[in-house]
Amino acid sequence: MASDEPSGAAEEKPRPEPPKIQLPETEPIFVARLVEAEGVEAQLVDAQLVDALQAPQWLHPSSILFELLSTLRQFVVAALLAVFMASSGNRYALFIATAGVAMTAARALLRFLTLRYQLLGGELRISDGLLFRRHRTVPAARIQNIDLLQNPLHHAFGVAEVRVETAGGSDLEAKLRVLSLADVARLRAAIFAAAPHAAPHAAPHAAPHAAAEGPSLSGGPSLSGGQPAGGSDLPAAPRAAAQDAHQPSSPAAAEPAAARRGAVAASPEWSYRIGSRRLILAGLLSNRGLLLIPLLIGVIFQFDLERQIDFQQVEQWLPRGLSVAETTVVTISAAVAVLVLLRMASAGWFVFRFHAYSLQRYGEDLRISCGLFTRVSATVPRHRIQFISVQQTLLGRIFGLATIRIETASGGGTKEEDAAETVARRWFVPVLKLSDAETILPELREGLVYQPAAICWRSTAPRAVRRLGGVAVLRALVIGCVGAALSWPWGGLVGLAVLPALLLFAVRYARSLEYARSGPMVFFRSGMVSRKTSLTFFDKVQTVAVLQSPFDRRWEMATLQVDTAAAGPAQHRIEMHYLPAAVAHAEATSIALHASQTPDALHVRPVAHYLSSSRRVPRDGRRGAGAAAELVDQ
Amino acid sequence: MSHEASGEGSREGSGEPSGVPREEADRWQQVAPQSVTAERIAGWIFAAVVLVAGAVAILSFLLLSSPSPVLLGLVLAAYGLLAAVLIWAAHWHPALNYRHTFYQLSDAGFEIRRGILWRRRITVPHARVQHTDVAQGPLERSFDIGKLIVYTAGTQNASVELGGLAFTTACELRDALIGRREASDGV
Repeated sequence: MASDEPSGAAEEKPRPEPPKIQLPETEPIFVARLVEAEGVEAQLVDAQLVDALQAPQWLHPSSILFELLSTLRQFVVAALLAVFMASSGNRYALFIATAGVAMTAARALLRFLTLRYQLLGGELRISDGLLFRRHRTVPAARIQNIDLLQNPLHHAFGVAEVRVETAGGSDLEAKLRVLSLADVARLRAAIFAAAPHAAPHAAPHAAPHAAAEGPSLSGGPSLSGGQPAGGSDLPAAPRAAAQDAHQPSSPAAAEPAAARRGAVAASPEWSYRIGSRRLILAGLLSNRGLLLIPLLIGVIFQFDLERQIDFQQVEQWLPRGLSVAETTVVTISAAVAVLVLLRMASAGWFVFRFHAYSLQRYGEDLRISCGLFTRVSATVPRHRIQFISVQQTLLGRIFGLATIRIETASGGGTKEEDAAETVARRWFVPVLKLSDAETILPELREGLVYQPAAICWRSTAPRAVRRLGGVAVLRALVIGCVGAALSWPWGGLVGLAVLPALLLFAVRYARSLEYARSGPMVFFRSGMVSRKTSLTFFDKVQTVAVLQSPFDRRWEMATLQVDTAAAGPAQHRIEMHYLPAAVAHAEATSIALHASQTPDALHVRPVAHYLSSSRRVPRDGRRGAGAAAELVDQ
Repeated sequence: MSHEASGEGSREGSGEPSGVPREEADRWQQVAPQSVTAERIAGWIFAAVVLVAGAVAILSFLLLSSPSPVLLGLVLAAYGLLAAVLIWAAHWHPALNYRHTFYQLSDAGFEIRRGILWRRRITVPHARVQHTDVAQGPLERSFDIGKLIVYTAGTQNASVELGGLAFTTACELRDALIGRREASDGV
C-alpha cells in the first residue's frame, strides 16, 4: 500500500496528454454525440434545455412495449404454461392468456398516455395515473445520479431505462421507463444545470475533444450506461485484459485526467478494471451456477407436465449390462460433467454480468459500469458507503482472490434487488486479487488506510479457547449419551469420535474472530473457511452494544456489537464475541465517544427540526442528565 | 425460581451495575420507582385475564368430557405452573427488572443497561439520534410515567426504548438528546 501510492503518482506524471488507448469514457462524449445527432450546439444545451423541460414531457412511445414486457416478465412461468396449454388445444387457457396480455397492454398504454415528467422550479415532477393521479416531486438538488439501464432491445429502439436516485436511499426513487437517449441527455443536462453541485461532471465540457475522437470511442463502458451493446463493446475487453496482464500488481490505472485534476472531473481520477480472464476464473471458482438448478427443474417440470416425459425412458439410452465398476465410473463422470457444467454456467454468469467491468472515481462519486448485453451503470457517492467488506471463499483463498461488497444506507436488504443494485452493492468489485484491496479501499473513502497485516488485531479473550473447548467436551458427551442410548454400549463411542473434530472447531472458531480499532475505523474479521474482513467508520456507527449472557459473566467475557445502517448484501455484522468484559465496555465507550463527535449525513433533518423547534433551545447533554436526576429524586 | 432471582436482585439492588468501571457507575440513573407499581398492575391484569380464560377452558373441558384422573392431574399441574409463572411475572419481575434497568446521558451518548440474566448495554451516540418519541399509555398516564423511544438509522437497534421513566424526565431526556444532537451536528 505504502509503495503503491507513490507509484500511482508516478504513473500520472509522465502523461501530460491523453494517450490514445486511455479513452476518457465519460458521459460528456455521450451527451455530445447525442446532441450532435440532434443538430444542437453543445454549448447551448444547458440554458435552453432547462426551459424546454418546464413543459410536461412524454415518455418515448416504445415505453408501451417495455412496460408490457416488464409486466409480462413477472408472469413468465404462467405465460409459458398458458402457451403450452394453448398449443395443446386448450382454448380456455388461450382466452385467459389473450385477455391477460390485452389488459397488460392496456395498462401499459394508459401509463404511457398519462405519465408526464417536467423540471419545474428546480424539482423533477413526475405524475401518472388516470383516475388515481400520483404526483411525485424530487428536488433536483437531492438527485444523486441518473442511472441508466440499456439492454439490446433498448439499444435497438435507441432508448434507455432511467432511474433517478436520491440521497437517503429510503426515499422513493423515480423510474422513467423508457426515454429516448436524446431525452436522457436533455434531462441529465437540465437536472444537473438546476443543481450544479449534484454532478459536477455533467456539463459537456469535453464535447469538442470527444467529437474529435470519433466513433472509435464507443468501445469504452459509457458511464451513463447508454452504451451501445454487442459488437461495439468488444474493443473494451482485450484492452482490459491486456491491462490486467501487463500490470498485475497495480491494476489501478491512472487516468489521463488525473493530471488536470483541478478542472471539473470530466475523466476519472482513478479507475479499476477487471480482465475477462480473471472474470472467467472467478466464475469457475464460484457457485453461481447453482442458480441454474431450480431453473432446470422448472423447465423439466414444465415439459413433464405437457409431454409426459417418462424418466424410465432415460434408462433405454444407457448401455445395458454394465458391471459395478463401470456403473461407478459412469456415475462419477456424470457427476463431474454436471459439476463442470455448473462451473461453466457460473463463469458465463460472471461474463454476462461483469463484462468490461470498470470502477472509476470522479471526485466523490464512484461509478461502476459493466455487463455484456445489458449494460448497467451505477453511481455510489463515496460518503454514502456505510460498510466495506472484503470477502474470500475457500477457493478464493487458495487462488488469492476476493470480492468487495459494500453497504450503503439504501436498505438493500429490504428492497427488491435489481441489476443495478446487484452490481453496485453485492458485487461492488466482483473479483480482485486480495493484495489489490489495499489499493482499492483507499479510493472508497478519503483517508482510508487498509493494511490488514499492519493492523493490531485484538483476538478473543485467552480463556475463550478453554471455554469453547469445555463446550465442545459437553457436546461430545451429549452426543455420546445419545449414541449409547440408541445402541448400548458401543454407540457411546460416537461421542469420543466426534470430540477431536469439535475441539478443533472450537479452537479455530475462537481464533477466527478478530477485532480492531484503527484510525477512524472499526475492523472485524471472522470466518474459518470463508473469510470476511469488514470495516466501518465512526461516523457510520449507529449504536454500540455490549451483551453478556450468564455464561459470559462467569467467564468475564462479553460480546461487542456495532450497529450500522447497513443490513444488506455484505451479510456480515460486527459482532465480536468472547472479548474480555472490561475490554468490551471500554471499546464500546470509546467507539460511542468517537461516534458522538462525528456528524452523520443520514439525519432526517425535517423531523428533528420539528421536534426541537417545539421545545426550547438546545442544551448541554450533561445538564440534561442532571435535571433528569433531580426529577428522579423527587 | 423467584428466590434465586430475587437473591440476585438484592445483590444488584444497590443501583450499581456490574462490569462497568467504578467512576462510571455513579452516573447511572434508575427509572421512576412508580413504574414498578404500574408494571405490576399491568401484569396482574394480564395474569387475571389469562388465568380466568384458562379456568373457563378447564371447567368446560371437565363438564363436556370426563377425562381420566391422570389427564386431569396433568392439566391442573400445567395450570398451576402457568399461574405460578404469571404471578411471578406480575409481582416479582417488575421489581427485579427495575433493579436491573439503568440509563445515563454521558459524553458518549444515551446509554441503557438492562437485563436480569442476559445483560445488555446499548449506547446511542449523540450525533446518531434520528428522532425521538415519548409514548404514554392510559395506565402510564395515571402514574405519570412514559416511554422514551430513540430512533437511529441502524438496523439491529433501529429504535431503542426505555420505559418507566417519569414523564417529565422522559421529556427532559428527549430535549437533551435532540439539543445535543443539533449541537454536535454543526461540528
